[in-house]
Amino acid sequence: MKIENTKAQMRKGVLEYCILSILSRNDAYASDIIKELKEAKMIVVEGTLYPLLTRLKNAGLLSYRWEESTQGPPRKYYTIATLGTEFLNELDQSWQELVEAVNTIKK
Amino acid sequence: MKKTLTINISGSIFHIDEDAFEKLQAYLRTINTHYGSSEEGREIIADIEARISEIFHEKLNTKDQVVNVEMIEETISIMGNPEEIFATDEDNIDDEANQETETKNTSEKRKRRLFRDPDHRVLGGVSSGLAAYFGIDVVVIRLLFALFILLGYGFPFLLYVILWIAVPKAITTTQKLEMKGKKVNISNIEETIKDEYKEVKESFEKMRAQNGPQVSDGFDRVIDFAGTALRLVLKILIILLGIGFVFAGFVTLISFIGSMVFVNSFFGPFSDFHFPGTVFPHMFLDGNSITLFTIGILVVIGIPLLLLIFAGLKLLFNFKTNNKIIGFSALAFWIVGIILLVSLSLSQIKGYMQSSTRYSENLALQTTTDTLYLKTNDNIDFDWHEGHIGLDNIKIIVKDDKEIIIGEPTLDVEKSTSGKFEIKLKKKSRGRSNEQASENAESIEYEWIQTDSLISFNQYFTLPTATKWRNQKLHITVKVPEGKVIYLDPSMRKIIHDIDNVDNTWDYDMLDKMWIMKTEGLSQLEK
Repeated sequence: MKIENTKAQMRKGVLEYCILSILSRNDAYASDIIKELKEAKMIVVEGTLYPLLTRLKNAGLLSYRWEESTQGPPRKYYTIATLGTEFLNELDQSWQELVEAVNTIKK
Repeated sequence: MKKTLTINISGSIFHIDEDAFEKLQAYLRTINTHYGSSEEGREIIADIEARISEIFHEKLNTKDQVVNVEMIEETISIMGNPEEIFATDEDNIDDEANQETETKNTSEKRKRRLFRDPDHRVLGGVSSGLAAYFGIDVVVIRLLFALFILLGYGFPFLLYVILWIAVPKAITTTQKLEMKGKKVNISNIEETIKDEYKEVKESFEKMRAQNGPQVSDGFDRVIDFAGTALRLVLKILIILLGIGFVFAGFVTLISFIGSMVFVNSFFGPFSDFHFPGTVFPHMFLDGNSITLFTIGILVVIGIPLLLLIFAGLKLLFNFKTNNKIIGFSALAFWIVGIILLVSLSLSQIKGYMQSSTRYSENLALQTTTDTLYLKTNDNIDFDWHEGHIGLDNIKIIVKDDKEIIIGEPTLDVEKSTSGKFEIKLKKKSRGRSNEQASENAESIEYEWIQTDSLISFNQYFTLPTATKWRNQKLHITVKVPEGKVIYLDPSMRKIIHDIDNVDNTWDYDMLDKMWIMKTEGLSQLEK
């Protein structure tokens, strides 16, 4: 068992949760999502986000539309899908449970 | 001064320094190879490229500014190293979870693959790739190649070409890492085998320990042990098979090509070298057909051998190739070769389609006696022990650096109806057309000499130098009137052929005897 693996796996699950949470507040460009995640120190490099976004989109949790940009080419504007909202609600619940569980044990 | 390139990322045009471009290209290639060409993969790559394009836009103040190396480094640090990006990749996490024992450093743990090294190449990068694979200095390999070629061995050259074609070039960073990955040389193969042997032993010992008091899951252990043992045996077998394939393929190919080249250059039209054993094909074929035949045979026999070598190399070194393309193109070439050979053969067979026979007049002999003496004369000094090429009754011999095509006539004795001794020649040949066949028959040259009552027949008939073998035949009939006698000299044994006589005496028993033609046929004259 490698600590790096455990960390990566934990982070990956939480990262999906975070992306859905950000998008549940309002629609956003990838760069906006990145900015927020970076501020929260959830991600260090931007590259990690793109595979995740694409996979969430393909899973039907997200959708996007193209928005014209003032500088450069049109950009993807992400929205949370109905399926994503349901998913997020479940995640909220299990997150709560997890935090409580860990807190109880760690106490 | 720096060279600048223009690139298009996600629809935007940028000027970029050459060194910066190479860095960016390597980066994107690594990402490309990782995500592959699936729809999802392409989308991820497009997103990443779009972001890189955005970053460039943010960083460049004016449109004319050039993207430089520092900017690329900055961009990569924002986007993250390929390894960091791939870390969130689902498959990758699963993979790494499974490979617990491996070391952290990715470049170290990668299994070594054979690639051509484009960064240190002279020709195709084969030598430098091999050097990286075996961990030897590239100079050593180049020297070996050069030495063997200088010494006149063709196979290293051939090996080089095969590897050049078959081994992929290391393009992406991952491939370059794999090229220099974990060592796989002979001692290393030994090491892996030893490791596996140890594993087998351990699992065997474990099995014994577990089997001691209670035999609970002994069966599983046996299966486990058998599996490991089988793996070890298989690995050794594959290595041996690979070596065998390469070796067998090369030896056959070299000797085969050697013989083809040898034959072709020695009897070819460019050579004045003549010795028996090399004159064979042009007895049948003209120059062009020989060349085509050679090519056809080379292709038809050579391709399976090349594939054998290729398979062996693949077993030995682990490198990726597009087997489908290689297989199909090999098959296509092979079929073309077969078609070539078949059509050539068909066109050659035409040369033998027609047969023609030419009869000479009955030549009446003026004789003063009632007895005719027949003997054979060695018109050509030829010994069986000398080198020659023979086909049926036709032989090609070399005399004084000249090729002579000779044939053995056959001689029979019949009854004459004219009351005189007569001799008749029958010339036979095949050819593409009737005219050609009779022309071929006509070209048969034969002589016999009469001195009073002695006839001496040449032992051989001859054909003009450029004549091809068309199953030419010459039959001599000696006609003897009733009541007249012939004497068969012992030298006649060389040409007489199934002479009818009343006693049914064998040809060779008829020699050195007098024979009289009676109404019922040839019979021995009582002494």
